[in-house]
Amino acid sequence: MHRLLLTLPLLAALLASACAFAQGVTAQISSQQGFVDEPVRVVVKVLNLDAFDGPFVDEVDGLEIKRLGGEQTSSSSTFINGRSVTQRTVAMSFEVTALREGSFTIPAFRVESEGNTYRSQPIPFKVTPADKTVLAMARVVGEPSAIYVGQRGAMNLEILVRRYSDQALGITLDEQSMWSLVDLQSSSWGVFGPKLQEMLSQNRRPRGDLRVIDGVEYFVYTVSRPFEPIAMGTPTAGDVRIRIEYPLRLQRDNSFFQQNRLSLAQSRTLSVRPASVDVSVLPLPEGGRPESWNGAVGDFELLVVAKPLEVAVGDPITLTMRLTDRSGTASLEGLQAPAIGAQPRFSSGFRVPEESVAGTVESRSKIFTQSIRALGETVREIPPVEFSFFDPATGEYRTVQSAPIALKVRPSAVVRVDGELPVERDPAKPAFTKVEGGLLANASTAECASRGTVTAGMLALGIAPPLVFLTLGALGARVGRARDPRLQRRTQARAVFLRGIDVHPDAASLESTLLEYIAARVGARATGFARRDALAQLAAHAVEPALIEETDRFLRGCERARYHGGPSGGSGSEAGVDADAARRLAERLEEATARVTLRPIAANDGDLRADDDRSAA
Amino acid sequence: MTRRLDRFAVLSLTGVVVLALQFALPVLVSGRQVVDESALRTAEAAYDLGVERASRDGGGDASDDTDAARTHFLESADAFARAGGAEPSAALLYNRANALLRAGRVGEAIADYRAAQSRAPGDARITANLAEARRKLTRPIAAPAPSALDRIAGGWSFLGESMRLTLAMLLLWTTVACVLLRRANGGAERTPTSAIARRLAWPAGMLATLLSATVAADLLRRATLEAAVVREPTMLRKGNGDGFEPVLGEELPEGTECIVHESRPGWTEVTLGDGSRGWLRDGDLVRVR
Repeated sequence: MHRLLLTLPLLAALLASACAFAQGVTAQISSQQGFVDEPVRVVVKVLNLDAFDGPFVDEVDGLEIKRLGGEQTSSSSTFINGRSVTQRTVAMSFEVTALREGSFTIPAFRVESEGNTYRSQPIPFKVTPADKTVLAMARVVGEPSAIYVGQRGAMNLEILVRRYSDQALGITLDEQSMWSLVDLQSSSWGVFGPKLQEMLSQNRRPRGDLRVIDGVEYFVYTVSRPFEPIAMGTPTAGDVRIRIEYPLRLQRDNSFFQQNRLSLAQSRTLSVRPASVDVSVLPLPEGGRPESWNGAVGDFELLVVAKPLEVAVGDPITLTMRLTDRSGTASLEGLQAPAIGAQPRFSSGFRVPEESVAGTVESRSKIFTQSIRALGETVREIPPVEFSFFDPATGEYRTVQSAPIALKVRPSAVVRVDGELPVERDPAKPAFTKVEGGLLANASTAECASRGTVTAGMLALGIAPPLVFLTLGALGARVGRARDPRLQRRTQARAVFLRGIDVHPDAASLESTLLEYIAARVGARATGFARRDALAQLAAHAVEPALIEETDRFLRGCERARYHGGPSGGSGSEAGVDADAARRLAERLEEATARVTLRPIAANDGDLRADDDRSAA
Repeated sequence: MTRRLDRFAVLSLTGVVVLALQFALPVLVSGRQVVDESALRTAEAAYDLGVERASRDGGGDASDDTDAARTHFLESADAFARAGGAEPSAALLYNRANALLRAGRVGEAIADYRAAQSRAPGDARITANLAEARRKLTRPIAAPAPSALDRIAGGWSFLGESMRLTLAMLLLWTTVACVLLRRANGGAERTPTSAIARRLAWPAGMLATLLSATVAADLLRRATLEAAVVREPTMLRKGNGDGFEPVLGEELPEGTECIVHESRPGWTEVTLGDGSRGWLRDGDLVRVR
């Protein structure tokens, strides 16, 4: 007995351990009875398998089995007799939709792991015809239901959900609660998807209108999208399938945190598709179509304004045409301008560009601007502009005209070029139109390869050498003059001489100033420099004998005037001894002594003598 | 006399040698400006392909052609940038701007046109295409007024920088030659030759100085260029951060031109053409280089 008492807990622990580590697959269906075309959910759980392939399931005729996205993994730990036991579950959802009535068997779901195959139990499933009570339906309707190519309308998806009342609780759901039953994620929205996404991103949703159909209340939720047909026929709405969790019974939650909160106790998953697309795109009639019609559909009003109204022949006139849609259904984006170039009244008197004009949309109007030019001065008005369109309300083509605009055209100025006869342009012949704007061509390869610009280094390299050369030359001359005062005296001799004879034009001053000038020019000392010294120096520097003789004559004349006397401050009593003669003589001496090179001053050379290279040689 | 002639000959010979070096050096320096010819050919080919794709109509899918054209133009712009290296010429910048504009990058295109214009202010093609690019702005703000130096530069831009530098060098050497000639003829003395040399030296020297000054002014103009263009639509803010209030109620469109004042990490202070001043993110701006 005592042994038995010891053995029983041990067996119980072993049994528990074995249960905790059981591996396999289970499948659980939400309801074993269903309706045609209404999906039923099956949850498949894989127990304690770390890695597996699947689940797989065989196809069954009359059933559509589809795996839903996502999977849920959970694990739980249990302590039994001090031992930790962990169980891991992976749950996946499938959806089974019966396509016909009858009794079916949902086959086993298979999972393969490490060479072993695990199977769930097959599930019997009985399907009855769809409930006669229409709980929800969908339809696509056009607004208007018949629309012409080129017209602008809307395509509406209407979702009708029967209003639910729980008699037991005495509760009737409102439109917001009924909309919350629509499964937005699992539903397919076809062409209405982008519009619904746009609404949801703006925290909006379709509003439900309560309507009574055959004595039953329905909430009608409408998703509307613009529709501009480009081809006739019935448009497609894409794959539209709306899934609704329709309640069969409600319950109140009595938990501490969510007291009295309503939740679905029992529901039925509905999947509704629009039975048909109630939109017809009609072709535009061929009969009665005006030549000037260029695809406009709607009911339009045309207003034309021109500016300026006084021009010369060939000057541009800006024509602004405003087309206003009164029907509210015209597609303004694709609307084209009135083709005035094709209207005979324009082509005879005006030059109209052939390029199509892009317009701008303002509210329900589209504005086109075109530049025209009068071809002759006989033009008196801008003729009425015609615009044809198809009116969907009447089903006929119509043409509207603007009012004519008075215009004053004067002859254009003609420029005469060098006597050539002015060329008058024949208005009947076409002229060129200069097109403004647009990109010009690229630069050539040769241009790209040449730089064209300079850098600071190139600038410095370019101008520095001559500048250095000039600066060094100037510095050298300055240093030379500083070393040998005779150089500066020689350079400035003429200026000093001219100043001297201007201040003291008497004979004595003329003589001394001229001697000082000659001394400076030949690099001799001015002190004690007499007429004989001057003549000798000039002769030594190869000055022409005639000039030396003239200099001698001038100096002698000065001496005579100095000794004999003369008018005080005058220009000397001797003929030809005056300031002008001195100036002329100095000019000739300047040129004659130009190439004299001064001999370097020797340390033991007391006399500052000038010599030229040739005489030294 | 013979000795004097010898000295003059030596001086002349020296002058010729120096002149030869003088003109050879800039050529050598400009020769270092390597253009990647392979990249240039790639750029031109991609541009031609882009133009060809953009001009297609009707046949296939228009959006495919547009996308393909844009891809070619962007490829062309990249290749033009590679061809120019760090110191691209005005022509390369102009071509790159054309490619960027055709690819829809208006902001970067305007920045390149401005950079090209700073190098060749008198180029009518750059002016025309820059105006075309500015016409594409969705909400245009006038470009900031050009500086006084920019306006003056228009006066001499009919001659390229290289041409002006070459002329300045020629004139400077003419001045040097005149000075040498005068010295050889006795300095300031009034011989006919020295008189001609004297009359020629001063205008040549003055004109050379003027031309050199214009080149230096162009260099200064480029070095002090503080312009930028908005690359992506962005808000002009009152401070250097997203937490600051916007200066304008709307975003500045791509291609808006502005003058740069100050840079802080990630942000740049700018002034627009209408006088509005504020801060923009560095990533939304492209500097005119």
